Amino acid sequence: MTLLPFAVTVWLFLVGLYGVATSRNTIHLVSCLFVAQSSTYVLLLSIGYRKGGTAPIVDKLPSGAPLVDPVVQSLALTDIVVGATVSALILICALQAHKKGGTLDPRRETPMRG
Amino acid sequence: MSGRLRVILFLAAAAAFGWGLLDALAGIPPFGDYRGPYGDVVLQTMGELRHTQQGVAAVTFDYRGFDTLGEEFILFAAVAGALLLMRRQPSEKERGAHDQAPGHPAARIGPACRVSGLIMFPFTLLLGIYVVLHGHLSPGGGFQGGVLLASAFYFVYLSGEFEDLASFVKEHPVELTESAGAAAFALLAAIPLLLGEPCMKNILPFGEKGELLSSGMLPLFNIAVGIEVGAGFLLLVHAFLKQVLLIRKEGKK
Repeated sequence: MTLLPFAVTVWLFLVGLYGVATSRNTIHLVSCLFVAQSSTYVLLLSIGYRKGGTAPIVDKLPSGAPLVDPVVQSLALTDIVVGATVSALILICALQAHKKGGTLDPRRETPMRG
Repeated sequence: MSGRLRVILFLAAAAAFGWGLLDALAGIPPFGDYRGPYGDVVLQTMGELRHTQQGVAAVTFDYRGFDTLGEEFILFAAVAGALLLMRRQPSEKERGAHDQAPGHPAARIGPACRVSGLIMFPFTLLLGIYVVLHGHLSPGGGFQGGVLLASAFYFVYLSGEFEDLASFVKEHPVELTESAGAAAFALLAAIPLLLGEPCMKNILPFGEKGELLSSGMLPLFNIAVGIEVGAGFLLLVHAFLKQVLLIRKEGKK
């Protein structure tokens, strides 16, 4: 049971990577990349978890109540923002490549010249 | 490389990598047995030093505030890059908003969809503003509230025409708003420098813990980020929809 979150992390990462490696569609590839990236959210949050802990907001909580680590939650927030922007940029590159080459298959796209 | 060889190569590499990763993760403290120390230090000091009750906001905008400054400019640069890449090429032209698929008449919006969109728009906007303003008291903050603010405008598109959304972006200077949000964060961070203090040092009174006006400059950072994220995502969705609906290659109908 204590290994389960870490096993989920590894599983999510590898499943996402499998999708990236075998993808025939750039939009599908971006989704797979996001799956692989969400493994980092699971890892960050499970590192900061404390048994019986609640969210790190101390409003009306008795002092001494177990709280989870806010630092890793903040890192997960950064992670999500960066992931969203990276996805947006790859999607735009896919869109422009589709306009130029007429295909979304990353293996059949013609090389671009600047 | 054939598809089968690719999969076999991937599976072999993934098995080795996955085994190593799992082995490494099994060596860190087990799940639920948090040993700190940084989280505990933050939780113990944020009430006294920062008059803040929300740990995540305290870390994001205060303890790790300088990182968030960089993160915010990652977002700004990404939106700017996205808009640059999506500008209309010389070989393309704009035309009226139509569905791209040939033989596909423009979808008609039913009255139920229109009414529910009109109802959802102000309430989503209000919820976004609430989440941004209460970021230092309850779950949420500038990033989360900003995304809510942008999604309020999705309802404008869903319940109307693309032009309705476009008029928001055209008539109201959304680009300026986004830049203003990013600039406000940087200026807020730089003001203490003018007073001879370290960057991002709090210069406002802390106030009563749990009040709306508390935690020093933290709510101001939240508002700056909320404005930037909201305007940035609105610009992104507008640019994507414009690509799909308006821009065509020259010569094609």
